[in-house]
Amino acid sequence: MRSLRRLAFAATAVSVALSSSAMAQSSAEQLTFYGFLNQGFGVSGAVPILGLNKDASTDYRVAAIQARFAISPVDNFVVQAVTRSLGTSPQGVAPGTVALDWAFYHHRFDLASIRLGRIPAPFGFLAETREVGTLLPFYRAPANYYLESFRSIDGVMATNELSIAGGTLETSIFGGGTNGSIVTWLPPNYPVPFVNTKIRFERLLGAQMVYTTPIEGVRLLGGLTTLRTLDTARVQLVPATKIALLNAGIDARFDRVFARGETRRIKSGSNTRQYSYYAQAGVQPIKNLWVNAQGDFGEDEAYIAAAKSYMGRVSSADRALSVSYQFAPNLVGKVEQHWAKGGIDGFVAPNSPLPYAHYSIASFAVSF
Amino acid sequence: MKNLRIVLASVALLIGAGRLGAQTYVVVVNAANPVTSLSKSTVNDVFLKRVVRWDDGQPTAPVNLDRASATRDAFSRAVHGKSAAAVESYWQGQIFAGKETPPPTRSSDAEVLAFVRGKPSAIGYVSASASLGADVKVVKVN
Repeated sequence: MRSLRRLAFAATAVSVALSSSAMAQSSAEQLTFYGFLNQGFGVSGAVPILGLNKDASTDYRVAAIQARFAISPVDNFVVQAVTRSLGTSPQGVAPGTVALDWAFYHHRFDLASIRLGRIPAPFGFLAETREVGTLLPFYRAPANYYLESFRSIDGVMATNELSIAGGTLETSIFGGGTNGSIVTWLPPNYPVPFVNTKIRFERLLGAQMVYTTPIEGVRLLGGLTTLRTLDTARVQLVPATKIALLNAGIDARFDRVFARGETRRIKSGSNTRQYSYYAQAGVQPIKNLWVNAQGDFGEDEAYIAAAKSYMGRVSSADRALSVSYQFAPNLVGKVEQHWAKGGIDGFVAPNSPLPYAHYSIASFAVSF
Repeated sequence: MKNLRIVLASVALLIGAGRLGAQTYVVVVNAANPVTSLSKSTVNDVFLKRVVRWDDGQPTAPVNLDRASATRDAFSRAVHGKSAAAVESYWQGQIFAGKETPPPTRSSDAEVLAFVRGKPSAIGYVSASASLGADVKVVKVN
């Protein structure tokens, strides 16, 4: 909290210092504020999952406020603060905690831009807007694919746009470091139910390309990123490991129907792989009402020396339906039902059958 | 059955005629701006901030009417090929991806014209019936 106050003070000081060089713009349009709230009410069956349990919870929300200071028409300073409540999930933080999401300087060239500071991580179509409920068909972006880790990058990102074959190719190249965490659930005979390991990743280098095709509403995505966990006293339990992310996706959005799918492979070290993939689709049968479906899957693989091959299994499978109603572009209400296997908040012994869990979320989202 | 076909054809013609009818908005720039005509795709790019400079290097300064305005909806459908609400969703995506912010909005034709009058690099749109006054000119959109 103290660090947030310091940051707010620093941001204000920078804004005041920069404002003297930009007196030509009206102050009302130099400093703008945006924000969103995604408030859920969720309940699971007998098995807790994603911070929800059978007692139900309204402590399920994400809210953010974004301040932008336009130094000039092509220079911006952007700060976004966020608070997240994840029910009983061990990945949640203390109630009321406000954290720094982003703080970056953004400069636009004619066909390119550069961002410097703590910037949104571009790992997929929904990476930056994964919790903006007014833009999503479900309460959140697919949870197996869009992890709690890899939300932002402390570093630099350059983006370029090119017209190719009747479409537009947006290429982003980025580098820096990022934060993550891994929750390890422990067997019942352990004194604590889980260990939440905070990880710092450095030497992050990556690129993402998004091709907006000549077919109106259809986009293709591909990306490759490498990074490394730090082997320092600050990072416990995790040895230095090289990680490579490879992702691809397709997104098609038309007036009354949309479909989207993404797939990703994360290779950790020399003998572990994780695969994630999801597909979602929606149709608008009547004005402002959407009916959506989603399948979201995770799969773990490890190299078994004796077998001389990778062996693994699906670790989580979440199938869901939702209905969302758009009262206005910035005010949306949703109800959704999920049927999941694995991915629960609890210990699952290796090779045991994946536990079944179902959960429901009613939510409303507003943005401005 | 033949009568039904005639009725349907008449209705289609009437709808088509309505669409081809007088444009309900005009695109305006400051009189000091040398631009006299723009392609529809350029206007689209300027209002979506994909193009941020005029040919002479001046930064573009687009201004929108409020979302509820019928003129804005007509402009959005004609230039962006989407409703004003769909364009609003596009801007939400841009804002919360940390990319760009939408042009400023004004609540009336008079306020848009005042904005364009006061800024040599500004571009806006107003209803076709609006009285433009001095220092503002209409740009032909091809």
